[in-house]
Amino acid sequence: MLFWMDGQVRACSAICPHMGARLDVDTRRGIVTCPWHGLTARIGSSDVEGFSCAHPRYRRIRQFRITRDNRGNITLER
Amino acid sequence: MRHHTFDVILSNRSRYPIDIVWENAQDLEHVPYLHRATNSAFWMLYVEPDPTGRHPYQAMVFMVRRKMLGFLPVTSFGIRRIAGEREIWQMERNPLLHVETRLRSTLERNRDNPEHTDLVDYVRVTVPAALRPFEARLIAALRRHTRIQCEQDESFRARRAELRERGIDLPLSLFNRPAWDEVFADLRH
Repeated sequence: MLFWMDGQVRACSAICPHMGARLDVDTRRGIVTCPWHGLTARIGSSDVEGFSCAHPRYRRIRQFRITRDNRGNITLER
Repeated sequence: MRHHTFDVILSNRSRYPIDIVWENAQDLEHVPYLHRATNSAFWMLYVEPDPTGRHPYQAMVFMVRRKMLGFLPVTSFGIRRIAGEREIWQMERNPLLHVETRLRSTLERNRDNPEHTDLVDYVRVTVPAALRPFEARLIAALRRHTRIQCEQDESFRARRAELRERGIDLPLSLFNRPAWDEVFADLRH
């Protein structure tokens, strides 16, 4: 899942780690949410901070590192 | 208080196979999210684990806040038990309205298309006797309610079917811890 936030392109898995629901992103509140059970991940302010959850089992949403070349192409790396 | 009891059979159909519909049927924690027009909160109070490990639980006690008429919050208590393969028993009671529903929910493969599933709920409803003249309206409301929920659940089933096709295995599991553990944690000391 790719989206803009605070002038940056951010990327994370769209698959909820619990049961695989397609995650929703709310850039205004800076969160990613699961539409089935309400899992919420806070979007960190940088790539390093990532997407962290308060849930005891599902601590993180898988994220991707983004690189951009001179022509503006975006590459996602696991 | 005098009561009036009536029975109703509710039938709905899903476009997805019985295994996927069964996953959705067992999951109750999605109610305030996927069915937010008619529910606003759900609390899993106590869970009895399934000794066979085939289901995420064997029985549970829960509390749910429904939205009556789409906005009026009413809180009900309920118990639910997985009574067999693809069969759930559930009782829900609203102490304020004195309304009780007992439900036997079953799944069957559709005869014409075995890839589709028929959901059949056998429901016994008990209401205050004053509501007897409204029985037909209550039945119509129940039918509409389950039809809308079944349609909303199709998105859940579609996604689970898509994950299977992509080889992504995330088995059905409880999301929350039962409130029982927290409520009585302090009393253990």
